[in-house]
Amino acid sequence: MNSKSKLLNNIGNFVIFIGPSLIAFSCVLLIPLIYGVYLTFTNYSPIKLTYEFVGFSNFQAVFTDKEFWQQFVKTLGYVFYSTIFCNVIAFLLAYLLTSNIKARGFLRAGFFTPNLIGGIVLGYIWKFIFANVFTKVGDALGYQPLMTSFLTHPDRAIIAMIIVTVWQYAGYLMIIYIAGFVGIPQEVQEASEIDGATGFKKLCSITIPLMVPSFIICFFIVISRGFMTYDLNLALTNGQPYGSTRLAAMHIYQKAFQANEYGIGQAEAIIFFATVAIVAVSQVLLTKKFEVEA
Amino acid sequence: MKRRLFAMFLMLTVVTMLITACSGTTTGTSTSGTGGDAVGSTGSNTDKKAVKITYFNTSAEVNTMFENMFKRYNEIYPDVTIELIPTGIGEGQQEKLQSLYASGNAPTFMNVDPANVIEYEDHLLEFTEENAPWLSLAADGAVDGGTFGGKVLGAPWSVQGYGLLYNKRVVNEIFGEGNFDPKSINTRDALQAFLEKCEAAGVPGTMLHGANWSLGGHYLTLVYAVQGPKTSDGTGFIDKIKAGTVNIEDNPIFQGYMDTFDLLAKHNYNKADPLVGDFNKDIQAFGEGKCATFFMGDWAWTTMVTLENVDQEYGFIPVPWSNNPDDYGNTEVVMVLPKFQCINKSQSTPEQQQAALDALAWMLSEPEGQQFFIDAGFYMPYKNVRDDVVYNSMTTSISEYAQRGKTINLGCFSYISGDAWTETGNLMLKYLSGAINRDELAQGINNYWKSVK
Amino acid sequence: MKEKKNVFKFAKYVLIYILLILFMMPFYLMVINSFKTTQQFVNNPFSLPKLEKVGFGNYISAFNKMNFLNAITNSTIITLISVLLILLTASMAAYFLVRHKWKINKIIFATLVASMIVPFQAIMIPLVSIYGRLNLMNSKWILIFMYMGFGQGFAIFIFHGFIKNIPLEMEESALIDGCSKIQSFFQIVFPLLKPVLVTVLILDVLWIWNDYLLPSLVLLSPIERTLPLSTYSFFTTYSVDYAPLMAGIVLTIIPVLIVYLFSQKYIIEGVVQGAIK
Repeated sequence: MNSKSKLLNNIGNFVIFIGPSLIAFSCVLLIPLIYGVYLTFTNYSPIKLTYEFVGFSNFQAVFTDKEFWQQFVKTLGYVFYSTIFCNVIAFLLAYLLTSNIKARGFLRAGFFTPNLIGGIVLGYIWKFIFANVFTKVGDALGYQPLMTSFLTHPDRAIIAMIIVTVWQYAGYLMIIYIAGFVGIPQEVQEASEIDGATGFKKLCSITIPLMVPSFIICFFIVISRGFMTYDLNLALTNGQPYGSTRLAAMHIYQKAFQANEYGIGQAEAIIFFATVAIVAVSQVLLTKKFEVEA
Repeated sequence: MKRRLFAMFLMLTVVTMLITACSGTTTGTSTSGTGGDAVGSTGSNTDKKAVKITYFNTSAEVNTMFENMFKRYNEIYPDVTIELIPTGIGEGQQEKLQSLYASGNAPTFMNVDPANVIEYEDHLLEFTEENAPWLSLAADGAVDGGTFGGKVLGAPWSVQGYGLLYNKRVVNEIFGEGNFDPKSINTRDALQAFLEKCEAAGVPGTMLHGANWSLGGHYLTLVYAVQGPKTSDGTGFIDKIKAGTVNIEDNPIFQGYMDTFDLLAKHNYNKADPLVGDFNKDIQAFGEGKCATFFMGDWAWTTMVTLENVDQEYGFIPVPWSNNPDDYGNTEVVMVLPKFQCINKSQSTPEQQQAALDALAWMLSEPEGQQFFIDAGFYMPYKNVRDDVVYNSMTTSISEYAQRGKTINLGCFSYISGDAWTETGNLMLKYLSGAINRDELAQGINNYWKSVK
Repeated sequence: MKEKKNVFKFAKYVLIYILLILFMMPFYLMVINSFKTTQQFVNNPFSLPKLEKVGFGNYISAFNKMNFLNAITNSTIITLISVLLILLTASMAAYFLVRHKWKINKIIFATLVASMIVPFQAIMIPLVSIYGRLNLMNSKWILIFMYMGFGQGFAIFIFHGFIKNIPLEMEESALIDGCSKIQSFFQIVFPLLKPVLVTVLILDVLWIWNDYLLPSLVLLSPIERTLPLSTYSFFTTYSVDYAPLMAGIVLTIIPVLIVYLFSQKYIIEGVVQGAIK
């Protein structure tokens, strides 16, 4: 075969294999995103009939929006703790549920079920639990910290969000970790046992290094979803108490639609996206360094 | 190989088409009624006159009322179908409405806050004597709240009021049957004596709903409205804060209302955990007589009726801000037109606009349409409403104040956006929880208004 | 030694069942409270329902209010077709991206991964305004196409990681035997993807089945409503009508729960098979 036909063949395969994905992705995500970036340079508003070019003034406004940066920092904290706790619990669950334990299928299903409910509804259910169930338990036990709702104190409201996030995602990540555990070749495990590695030592020296790909995926999932948390934020705290739990996505939304500063909101969304992309991509690159070929 | 080339060509065409289509849209909104295609696209409908129009409702608690109303309307006028667009859950309403406008699928008509009427001004059809003769039936002054720049853009449909609701059974038990006169609460000292008497009887004197719309949108708004009986008194005051020529802390009315607020907070049923803000729970507690009064409005009724074993008899008392019974606001409760009906002209066909006008005429001015609102407990500001209607106790109380001319004009409410409720309401919540003091609250309010263009 | 092992085992069971109770508590509350009135629910969420009083009343009212049969049909069509399209196109794309380390492929992959972090608010208005002007709103099919686009990033990301670990030899021998790229993908690689296909399937089914925002923007007429959109009638401006909402959620969850329980077997089976090879 000559090189020309090989090139054509390659292009043909490219179109067949990647074409449909790329078209859908571009039409739905890429083009709107580019259009969205364009809009940040205008004073566009969905409810105005006309708009014009305004240069960088929206971006300037973002840098003077003190609250945005405060909420940004708060969001970083929320994402950090969510990532840690989700992964620790998910890993623990996966470890326990791949060990020799009865009713594995039932338990796995049980831990996964929180994912069956969508974000908004989930938020409303938990709001009720924090406000009515926890407080009833607190009254019954006479335990002061539980007597008032978690959602009425700025710091505790963030903790409440982390609790619900962990509750929701731990089962989700558990599935990926289980796949990782099961994917460790039998020979490697046996070999390590012959070498005398058992229990905790085996976990640290054999299992964890081999599960780096699972860690990459799981961390990435929590980090990316954590930054974008909106539904849960809206339904659970709606920014309360007094606006202290408005995470970045909610702040952007309120800027764009409640304060009618669409251009600024859009510019904040773009800046936010860029930052998150940097964080997430560096996380992937960093963890990839620890990857070992099985 | 040919097939692959063809596929490639196809993909290129699609992408090019999409790109050109997208760049074509950046040149601004087309005004060629994109909603028009809805006509006839309903499938089997062969009647050429058939019109489909859409309705957006921000009073989510009465979605069912509107659905039933539209169903009945379709029975009478089979060629007109009105579709209710579900409102976004929670506070997603503005987002949803803006996305509808952005996509060229704006609702043909809608029920929105007065602040929205200004925001959507460019898109709205003006009501005139020709196209909406029935508006002359509206009660005196009712149309003013929906009039901006001399144009009537919103048609009123309900009057609501707020103040301190009191539970008549509870108050009678404390004061003895018939011994309590709501008119006697006309100074802060009188209110204080009342609250202390309730407290002495073992009943918390009042309840504050820990949500920003209640404290920011309703309580704090009293400060602006009570500046004077005219709408411009309130908006003028806000303009001065914006310009920096007035600081809110220097205003005696602000200080007065905040003193009253401290008093209410002291006797708050929710004192242990003031920011919970669970509407169902608060209504239920009030209905079950766990506290004597509740800072809320007559819309509480729509939730109250869904509960069992709650009291039925309520009345309003004013929220006095000073110790002079002659001061404006001390003997009055608030009366407000909270929502308006508007018709879109920018993204609908003339036929659709006409259909919406006809539907509104039926809903607001004909007995059958009005009956739906009356059944749902609304007090309609129209002169031809049946006069034998027995309203619920809350609405009745408001209308008694109205008959005596004892209402606060909340006209400036039309110029206060949802963002103001949220932001200043959050400050009020902070104050209520003790996180900031009154100076910081005042600074925050000043700064908020200065930041608004 | 044996005793120590038993104590450890006992502790393991205690730990896992305590965690399980914590995880399942909200569901327990949801189910028992779906048989009460909202008022009873608010008064005491722990009390057992008095069945003779409310019974299936909430379920019946949720069923009617949500127009359940219509909504579940819409949800099923949208979820099923979207997920199948995502699985097919994303696995093919991921395969090609792994096997051809061209520069353009690396750029495409990086773009796809980065796209997973785009906040939806940043593209929401542009998206609806583009599709609205092209008059492409209010159709299930457009929604399906959108899900296909939004689902690519995550699915390709997962497939990519998995395919990387599949040895090349089998495909190479197939190619030498004269198979086309397509044939070798479907005959050799695709069957090996079974565990990861099921995983992505479940995660995407859950996402699409429960999604609220996107269908609320695209689907305008009541006839097209999906299950999450239909629960809107239980939310009012200031409050939530919890009792029928709980019943509505239970009704919404049951179908996906069945799908999950059914495919869970395959996940584990598939994962084990994948490991043996």
